[in-house]
Amino acid sequence: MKKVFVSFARLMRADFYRLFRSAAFYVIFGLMAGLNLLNILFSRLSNSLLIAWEGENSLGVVRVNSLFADSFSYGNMGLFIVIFMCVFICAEFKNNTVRNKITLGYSRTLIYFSSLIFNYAIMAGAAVLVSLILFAVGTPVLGWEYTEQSMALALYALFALLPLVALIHTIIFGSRSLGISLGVGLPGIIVLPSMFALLALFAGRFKGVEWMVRLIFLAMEEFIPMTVNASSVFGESAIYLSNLPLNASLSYILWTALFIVLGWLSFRRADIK
Amino acid sequence: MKILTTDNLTKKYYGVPALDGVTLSVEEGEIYGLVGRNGAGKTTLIRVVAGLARKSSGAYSVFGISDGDKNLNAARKDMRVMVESATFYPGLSAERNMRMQCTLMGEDPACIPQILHEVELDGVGKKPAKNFSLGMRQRLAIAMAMIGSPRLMLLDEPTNGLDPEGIYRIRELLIKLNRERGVTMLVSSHILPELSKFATRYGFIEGGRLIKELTHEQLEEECGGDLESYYMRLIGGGI
Repeated sequence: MKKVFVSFARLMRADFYRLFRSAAFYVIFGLMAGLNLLNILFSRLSNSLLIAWEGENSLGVVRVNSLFADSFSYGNMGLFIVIFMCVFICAEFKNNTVRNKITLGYSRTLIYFSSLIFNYAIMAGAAVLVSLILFAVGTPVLGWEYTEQSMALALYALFALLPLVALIHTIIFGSRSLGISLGVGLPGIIVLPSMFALLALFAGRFKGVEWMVRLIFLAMEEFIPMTVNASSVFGESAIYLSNLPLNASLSYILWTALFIVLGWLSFRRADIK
Repeated sequence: MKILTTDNLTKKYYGVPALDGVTLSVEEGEIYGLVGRNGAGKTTLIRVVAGLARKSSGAYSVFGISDGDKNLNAARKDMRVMVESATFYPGLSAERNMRMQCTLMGEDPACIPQILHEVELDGVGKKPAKNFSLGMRQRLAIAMAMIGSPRLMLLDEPTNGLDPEGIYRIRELLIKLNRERGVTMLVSSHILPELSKFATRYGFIEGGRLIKELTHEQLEEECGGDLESYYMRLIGGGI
């Protein structure tokens, strides 16, 4: 067991060594932080217009809290996860450096799980960092609105990252190609909610298939918080979800486990170039 | 002592055998030259033994540990592999690539300057490896393989595409590693006159099968050490 921990620690250290020397990481993270800062400025602009037209109590006025939720939940974080993970992990396959790990005696299982944990840690770390930036900048610009709910929301958002990270990780380790991973991951994260909504609409037309509608909305609950079109259909799905036997947290865990197993099986059996 | 053995080793891709029942063994201290045309199965053999590809049937062992044994992965720590091209992080310098390798192997990076000096890459500074010439890349790969105490090296076309000077440097490095550190080697190459300058035994692969093995001494006796002529005669090409 000790040997496994030592090997695991070495793989993680090697990944961190590469991460901090990777220009892609700084560029992608900078873009994500920049997008969130731009959000603050746009919100301030729209707030001032709304307040001028409808007064201080207008429902459309954006506060730091809601912006914080948005930054975690919609768009930015999902895109960041897809792009960063595809670029960072696929470099191992493109440069064939994953060979070094395998031929040095690291088991594929260890390589797979250390990569998964490393990537989740980086994504969670980036999410926390962005939220700190948002509060630091957003508070003086938009007004402080910290509540206990903010912390709960942050923790929930970190938890909700798990299945998405696992899914993207599975796509990457399954395809071992940057083109395919980005090609599937990027459109997927944008169109997935629409696909689920259409599926639900279609299934809802037939009697006796309510279970299918529920399953689809369970999937929506899973992915939509991370995607750009989330806000339009999220409210609708909540109605269905309130009657579901499984709560969202359990569904997160189940989806995560499913993706992890699929990716692991695929990588374990693969011939590496 | 047998460092590497294969027993009826077979690898099929979509039902087509790339490696068809190969049985061979490499003794400690040998430089075993694998000879064969493109697609004969040389690279596949190396990839299977290195753990990069799954065997279809048969067996192999490294350092006496068979492929079904849980300790094989641990044994692979004494093995170094270079398949087709050098593998490194192109954006990192030679020194940083070496550090990555040290981290993965749990070795002290203090050995890096000495090894870079030995492969004549100590003057490249922070130049990213992607800007290296082919010869420099191959030498970096060998430098990375020299970290720790390798006992076995599997090298697939280590001099492919190199100019005469590059070929000479790599050959000298390999001979040095073999003679001074006792590293056993399995080397595949298309450059037969070059291979015959340092290999101690040869295995000829054709259509995924090992069709002949002979020592360098036997080659000297049979055709004055001319590996190319011997190979052409063997496959019926005749010269």
